[in-house]
Amino acid sequence: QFGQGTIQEVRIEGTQRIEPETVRSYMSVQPGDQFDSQAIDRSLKALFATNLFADVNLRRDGNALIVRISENPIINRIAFEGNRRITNEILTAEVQLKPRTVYTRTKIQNDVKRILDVYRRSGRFAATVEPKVIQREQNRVDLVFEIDEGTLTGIRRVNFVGNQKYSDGRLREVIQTKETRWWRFLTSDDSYDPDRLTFDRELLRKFYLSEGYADFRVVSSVAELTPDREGFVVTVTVDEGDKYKYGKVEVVSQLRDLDPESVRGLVAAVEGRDYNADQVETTITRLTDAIGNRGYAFVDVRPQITRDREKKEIGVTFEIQEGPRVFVERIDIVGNVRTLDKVVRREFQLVEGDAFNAAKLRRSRQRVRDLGYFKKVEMTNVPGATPDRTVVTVEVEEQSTGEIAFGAGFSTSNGVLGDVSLRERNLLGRGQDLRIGFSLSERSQEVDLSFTEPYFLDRNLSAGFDVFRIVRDLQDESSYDESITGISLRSGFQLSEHLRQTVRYTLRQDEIKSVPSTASRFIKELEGSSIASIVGTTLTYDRRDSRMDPTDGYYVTLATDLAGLGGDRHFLKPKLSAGYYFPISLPWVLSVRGEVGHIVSFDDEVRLTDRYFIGGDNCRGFRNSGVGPRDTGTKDALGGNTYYTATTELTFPLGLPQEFGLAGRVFGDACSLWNSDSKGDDVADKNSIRFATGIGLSWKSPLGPIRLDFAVPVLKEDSDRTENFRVSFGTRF
Amino acid sequence: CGGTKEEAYVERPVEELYNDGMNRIAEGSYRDAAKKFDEVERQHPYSVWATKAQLMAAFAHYENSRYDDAIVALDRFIQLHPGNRDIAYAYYLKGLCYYEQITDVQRDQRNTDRALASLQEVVRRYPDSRYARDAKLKIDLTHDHLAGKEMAIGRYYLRQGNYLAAINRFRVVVEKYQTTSQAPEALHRLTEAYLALGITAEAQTAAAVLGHNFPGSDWYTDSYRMLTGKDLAPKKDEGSWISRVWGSIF
Amino acid sequence: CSPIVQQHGNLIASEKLNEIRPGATTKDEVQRILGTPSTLSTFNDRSWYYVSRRTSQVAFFAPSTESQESVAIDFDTSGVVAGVRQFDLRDSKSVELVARQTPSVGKELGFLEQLIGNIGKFNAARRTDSGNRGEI
Repeated sequence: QFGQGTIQEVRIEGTQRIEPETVRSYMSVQPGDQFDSQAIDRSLKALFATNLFADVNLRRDGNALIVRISENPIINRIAFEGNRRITNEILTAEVQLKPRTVYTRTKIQNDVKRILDVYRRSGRFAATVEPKVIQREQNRVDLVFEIDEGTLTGIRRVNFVGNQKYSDGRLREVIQTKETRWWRFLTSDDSYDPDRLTFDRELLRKFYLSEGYADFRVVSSVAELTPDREGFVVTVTVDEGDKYKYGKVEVVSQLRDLDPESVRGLVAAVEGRDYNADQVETTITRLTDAIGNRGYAFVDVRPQITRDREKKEIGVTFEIQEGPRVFVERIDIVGNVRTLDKVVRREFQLVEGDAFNAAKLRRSRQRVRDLGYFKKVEMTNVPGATPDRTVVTVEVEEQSTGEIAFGAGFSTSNGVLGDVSLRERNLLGRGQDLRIGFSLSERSQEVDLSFTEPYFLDRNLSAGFDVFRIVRDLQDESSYDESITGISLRSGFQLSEHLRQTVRYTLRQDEIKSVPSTASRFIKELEGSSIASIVGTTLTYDRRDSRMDPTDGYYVTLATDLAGLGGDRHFLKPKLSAGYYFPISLPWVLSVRGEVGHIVSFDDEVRLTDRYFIGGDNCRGFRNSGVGPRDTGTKDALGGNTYYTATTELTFPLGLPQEFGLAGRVFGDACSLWNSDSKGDDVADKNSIRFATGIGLSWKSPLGPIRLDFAVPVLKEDSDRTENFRVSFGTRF
Repeated sequence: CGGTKEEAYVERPVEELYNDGMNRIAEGSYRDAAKKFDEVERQHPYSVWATKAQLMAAFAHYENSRYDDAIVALDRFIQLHPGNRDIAYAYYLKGLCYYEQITDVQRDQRNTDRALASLQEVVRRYPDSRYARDAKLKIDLTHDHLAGKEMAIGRYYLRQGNYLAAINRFRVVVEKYQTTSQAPEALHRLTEAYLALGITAEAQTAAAVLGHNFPGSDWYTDSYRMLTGKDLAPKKDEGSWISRVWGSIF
Repeated sequence: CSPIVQQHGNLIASEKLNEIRPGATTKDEVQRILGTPSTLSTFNDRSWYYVSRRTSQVAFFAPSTESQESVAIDFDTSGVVAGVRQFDLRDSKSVELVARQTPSVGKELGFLEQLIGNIGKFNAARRTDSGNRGEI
């Protein structure tokens, strides 16, 4: 509708904030072009696309093209009203519109949707948002979001239909969605979230498959709002199907010179046993790893499942084929703002130029995650320059690895105690660990500095040193105060997947002071200081599932210290400790732990401070150093050269939900300490067994772990000093 | 508790606000300067000063080394005023914001890539502006930096004995970054790696190219010495034990 | 405790290598049979290299190289295989790596600043030699 002729001039009208040149620069039509409606239409669209203009219209005046624009107003201020649960900062961050940016209706609608999303994620589906626009002079607007948060839509009840084999209670433990209860204030799992419900279907499927129900499926999972709109009732209908057993389980290999029988042992699925989907998965990873390590770079293990409905059997054939021949072109590490590139790269099982192997990539990601320096570790691989090349990109997001920890606590042995420690686990991004700790309590003060380099000489050999000073008040036990100052150099390495060895050299000076006149003669001889130069090594074989609170597996540790290369004392001090954890049926766990130690002295006698002292934590029912050789006159503990301790403990839940972190314990501690070098008729030194039994309570409270033990000594010597009640509570924040 | 209270929303004439900002810049209190210039733009978006204030706010953020805020302000300025006479400076300042955040070669180089991109944009769009010359200089330094990263990874693999990985990294430097200060070392490292693989022909070519292009460089003397056999004696002495230990920790 | 054996790079199986016949096989055929080369000759595109290395590592000791096989495929100007060269550990020359490094610019995190700065968000502190700032 613009007719013919060339455009002599393009006139811009209505600009306020934006310069005419800016408008012209966005237009594709320039003076000298023809009046062509398509081109002019394209300019119109281009101008609108900039989001700067509320309205644009083009008309022809003679040979001039008139561009009449009215600019979108500018936002002066943004405010939120009615938001009690979610702070302004969170909403401002979520909203795209910012003061001084251009206001458009579409941006307003998007922001309303974003605010509603934030509320939906925190379980408030009844929330509503009303945007209000207040005109200001100079074409500016103020924007107010009026929010009505509505009530928290929780989950009133979760019902299951069609489950004969497992009770509703058991299935409720499997899924993540929880029913709303007053004590669930800490978690938001009890708020209605559709994504979590779909995730629950997956959790149920995995659970049933691992219990052998191959035909299991979730028929439906429906959430209805209760009439009072306060919460949802979730009804999950399941079709369990029948329990399957394993039929024929075979391993078939298409790789030329790989004999399937040689890897048969790794297969977790056993004919006749209950079918378990997880076992199939672990078998695949084991086979891929093992064959990968034998030099077959491109391994692809695929399970062929055959289902026999009559006999309720699942036949599984693991087919080993050659995967695609792809090589790693580059490994690019991105996002490491602080950590050095090599600290991540050295954890890699793959080297540039190697054959690409998914199992190795998975293990590399796990090793980088185990460093503990990163919030997020994502590994993606995209095709490289040629089809048989791939570029691996490692995207890491660092987390603060510095910790300032304050601890406070109370224990019957040390009284009130507090500690401060400053720790940096990724010093200067070099992966080194530096820790400076002070701990003070009524009865002991300790300062120590420890530094560790995990990859000494670029090998996976950790090396480090400690500098420490410990001052202890042992007046009750043996009437003397002790101060130990020293340094130690240490190094540790992994001999195999579970076997670790550490080697240590310690040079320390022990000083015995403020020995009262009433002390035992053996103690009085000790006053003064002495140097010990000790070489020690520890061999640990650890098969526990976790070091913090193990529920399965066992460990064996042999630690030997040899003092004598210089220093005043010469002795050999081996100690063997072992523990076995047996999960009866989680969270019921039975644990049996034992320790035995001995000292062989090359001097005439073992210095009292080097001897073993038993009682307190390592033998409940007896006070610190309450067991073992004692000066009957002054009641001072004299320590012994040989000891053993054994404890059996059953941990059981108290029937309360596990979010409380409460667990009960029944235990029996046996121990003995004898063979002291301080001899005489005024010394009681018997190697009889001491035994105490008792109950205990441990609570992972929000403030920190609390342990209470109540023990009654059954077998004891009259020279021993007993103690019924122990409490220890510690917190770090 | 304390925290900055939202300033009382006072309408003030634009010149007063703008001059306030300029004084703050002179005094060096850049945070307040940036606030003042934002106020100019907020209260008087259509005044001539608003455009200038946007750029000044960005400059203040930059001086205060709040690079992210500066970049956001500059992006808005570039979108709103592509035709402005100070537009070349806006692109240049944006390049500087990234350039300032370049960390050493061992760490993430995304800022280096961004700096390179925005500096190249300055040279491409405004080749004859007075900022193009300094941008070109900084582009070379950025190239040198990216080459430095490839070299660091190449040396890591070389030390481990993964010569193939090392060779490919050094080849990237030789092919993509020939004009940087890292090129001579890359050629020497290629000689070392190929010798370790036993492919002496490639080692000799690499050393010859090094000698031809960088005759005076120390790296050529190293390669030359290595190739002429004097150094090929089997005595594998990797420096004293202490220096090796020291090197690996600090 | 058994050593961990790892295979790096691209080991060419001997029967595959026998399929390469000098004077007959072309570049595309080599690409199909052996795959993309591990690396190319740096200065002339007439040699392809396939490099591999087999290491075994015991506990914390540095991984020792058990075998290091490299295959070079040389082409003539018309892109037909001219010759095949093979190298192994015996050809390897012992090399003393030069310790010197070409310096590269970039900010090192100071000790204390890193220890403190790292708690909470990392603020990118200014670089000292930031060149001229340009004036307004």
